Amino acid sequence: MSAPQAPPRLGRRGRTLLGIAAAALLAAILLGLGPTGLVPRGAGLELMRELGGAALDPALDYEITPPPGAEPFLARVASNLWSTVLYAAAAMALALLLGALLGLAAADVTWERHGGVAPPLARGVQWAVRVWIALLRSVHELLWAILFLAALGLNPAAGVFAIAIPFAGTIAKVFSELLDEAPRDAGRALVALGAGAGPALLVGVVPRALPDLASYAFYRFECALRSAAVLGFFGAPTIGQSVALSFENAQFHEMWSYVYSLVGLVIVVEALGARLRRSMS
Amino acid sequence: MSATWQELRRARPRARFARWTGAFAALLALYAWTLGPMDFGDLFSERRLTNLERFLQVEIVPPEVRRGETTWAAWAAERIGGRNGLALARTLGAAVLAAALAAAAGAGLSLWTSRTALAARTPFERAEVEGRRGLAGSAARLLCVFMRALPEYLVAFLLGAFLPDPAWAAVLALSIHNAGILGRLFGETLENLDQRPARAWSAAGAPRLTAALGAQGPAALPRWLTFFFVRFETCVRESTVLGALGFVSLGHWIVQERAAGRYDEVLLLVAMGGALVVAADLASWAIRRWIRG
Repeated sequence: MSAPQAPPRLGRRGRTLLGIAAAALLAAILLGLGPTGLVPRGAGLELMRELGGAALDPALDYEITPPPGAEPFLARVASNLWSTVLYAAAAMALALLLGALLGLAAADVTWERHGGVAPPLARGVQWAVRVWIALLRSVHELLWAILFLAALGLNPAAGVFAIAIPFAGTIAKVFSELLDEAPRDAGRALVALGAGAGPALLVGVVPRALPDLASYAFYRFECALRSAAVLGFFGAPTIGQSVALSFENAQFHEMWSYVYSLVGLVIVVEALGARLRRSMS
Repeated sequence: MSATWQELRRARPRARFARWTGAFAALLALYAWTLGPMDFGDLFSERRLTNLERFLQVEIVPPEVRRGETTWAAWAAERIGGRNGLALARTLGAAVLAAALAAAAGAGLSLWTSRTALAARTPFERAEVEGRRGLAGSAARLLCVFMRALPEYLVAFLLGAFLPDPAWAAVLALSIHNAGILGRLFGETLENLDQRPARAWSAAGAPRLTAALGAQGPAALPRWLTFFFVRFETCVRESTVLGALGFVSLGHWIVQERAAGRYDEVLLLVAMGGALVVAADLASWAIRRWIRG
């Protein structure tokens, strides 16, 4: 009989924590990061003071007299925000449509038949869809934007597609997981009563997952707003463009007004998402 | 007495807010696609289609491959090491460091964002901390909301303006956004734990912080690690673009090559970024599985 083994001094979680700390230290060495890189000096320090002062006093009007006929400053902020919302909404509509279809195709529950086993051909299709989803997600929306900009030139639709493609991949992945986690009793009961697999899925399983699907879709809309804003740095007429322009013109009070309005919008959408979750739970 | 199906239908629970939100979202999407920024006439114009054809047939194909001197695979293999390999490593390094810093900050914040971790557990503590604790909790939750509402790219843009090292700007930008998210998620994990062990520690005389760390830390760790790895995947993805702001990594060379009009190199670097994201997803999945045992 072999002697009982002593338990390891450090469990798997402890070793993971140590591994993370070691990896972070190695990363800091690779990046050549030191404390001096965190301390602004000279012009950087002056700029930090100016930005910090302006952050406490955001603009309610233009800092310099605008050309005649220019819209009021706050109207300009609102129109920039509206443009950001439209980019995000257009991208999300496309991403949701694609993501929901791909998510259904990638979920186990879609392909399972009696006994919970999927036919080999179905497994092949499912894995092909999963690889496709991983590829869609792997490239960041700004990189898609750069590629579209090079291929098509500056066009709003290119910006919308740039956000929609990776978002569709992310939505598909999460939707498939949520569908697989949804209770299947109602779907199985429908199949036992003679319903086809498709109707049983759509009527018996999808409605059970709907609150989680809607909640996640709302969260992605919040992410789409942030992405649409950042597209402004690459030429799209969203609020990010105004942030970049006012920064370049050293109109820091105006810049903070744009930043705060974006933050406010994201917070409102997050609050609406929380209310949606409560109303559906 | 049995109800008719019309009565049952009328009596079913209805989420009015969810319905109105759904209807508004559908109208907004319709408006965005029909009257919003989309310009399909211009997108499918002769000029754009010619651009696209040239891009796909000429610009993204390396000259050596076009001339038949080498293959795509050999051309890419030559370029994956050296400058591009280092950029890939730096992209990953920024993500690892940022995720670790975000987790540390998120763990600290979670003690205040959680309504239970530092809450009074004995009558003596209650008299001492009730008001202060509520105020600090609200401030911490508000801070987390603000941190996660700011896009990483925007924060990196602002930090990069005055920090001497653009790598720090990228790492801190990723950390700030993700600390806001982890601060909330870690706090919710602490709230959802069984509070009895912490109460027992407090009843035995342990200070609130000791009771929170000692009784709740080990129980929260598995969930915290799961959240950490999910955010690490996001950090890798975001890290691929922050180089566009001057931090020498994949994004930096993508912007440089694009400015030089070398789209074959751009495509290779984008593909390297995509491969890094997929590899990070797989590694994160494998580690989470290993931790579960």
